[in-house]
Amino acid sequence: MLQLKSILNVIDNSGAVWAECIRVLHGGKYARIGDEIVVVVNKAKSNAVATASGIPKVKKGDVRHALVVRARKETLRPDGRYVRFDDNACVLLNKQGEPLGTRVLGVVSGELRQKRWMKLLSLAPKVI
Amino acid sequence: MLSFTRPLARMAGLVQLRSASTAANAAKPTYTAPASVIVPTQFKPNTKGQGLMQLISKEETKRLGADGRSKLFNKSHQDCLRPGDVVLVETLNSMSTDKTSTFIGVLIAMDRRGLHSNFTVRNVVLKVGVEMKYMLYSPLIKAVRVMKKGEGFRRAKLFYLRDNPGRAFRLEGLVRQDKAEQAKKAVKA
Repeated sequence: MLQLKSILNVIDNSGAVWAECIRVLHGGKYARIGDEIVVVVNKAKSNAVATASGIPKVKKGDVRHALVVRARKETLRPDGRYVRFDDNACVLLNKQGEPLGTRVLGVVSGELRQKRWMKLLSLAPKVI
Repeated sequence: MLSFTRPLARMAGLVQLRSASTAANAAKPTYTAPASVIVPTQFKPNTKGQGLMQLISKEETKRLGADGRSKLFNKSHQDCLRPGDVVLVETLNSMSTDKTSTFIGVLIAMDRRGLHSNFTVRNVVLKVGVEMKYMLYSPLIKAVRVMKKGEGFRRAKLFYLRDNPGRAFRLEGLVRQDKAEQAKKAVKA
């Protein structure tokens, strides 16, 4: 349940470290795993590599789209299972809705299987 | 005067009446239900002192626990799960496939709620804590195996492990060990 002012870890290699949510794109108040949000990068790595599509590396203060991939709030699966992670994490997206970075560093939720994030799932080292 | 207190008994009564009136059709071929349909052996369940929902819950618990998963939550059984056990849960990906996904972790909570009995398993995966809450009687749960008995845990709910994990989540090698054991079993069979 991420909303305005929620801080998320950025788990790709785009250069951002933390990002703060400023808008939930589907119009509601809360974003869950698999939802797209708009974030402003709070902290970025100074020595990050340039991103895959040739866009200059992400800097602190950049406003980007992101996808929520882990959430502290437990998520209900269709068979009654609940999954909960210890942190909130996101992956930055470009204007076309594709992942900005080339690698995903960390666990990603299986909720993404139901939506159009197959590329991200293939990049992720572990999907739970 | 209509009574709404024992609907199942009333329905059972209706069934008996119907069968009495069709005595003339006794010569007709009998119908045997396919194996997937569970036909109750007694048409009149004991509804004394039980509400309809309790009755349904008990019947479903019995039906879904027929494969022996109820013993995991039964304290008087030696195979009962205890908080602190390292548990491996194998879940079918869907009802139509045989493919499974596995999750191993420390059992940190057990909730006994009849049909909705559930347990929470926690592990630290790639430095991130992940908790999964499984419904014991879910048909998607293929197997629950205890990899290691928990020792020294003196609480029913081990939520303190979220902040003070200690060495509780050093579970490397147990998934491999389980795969080896399962492969051995498959070879034997």
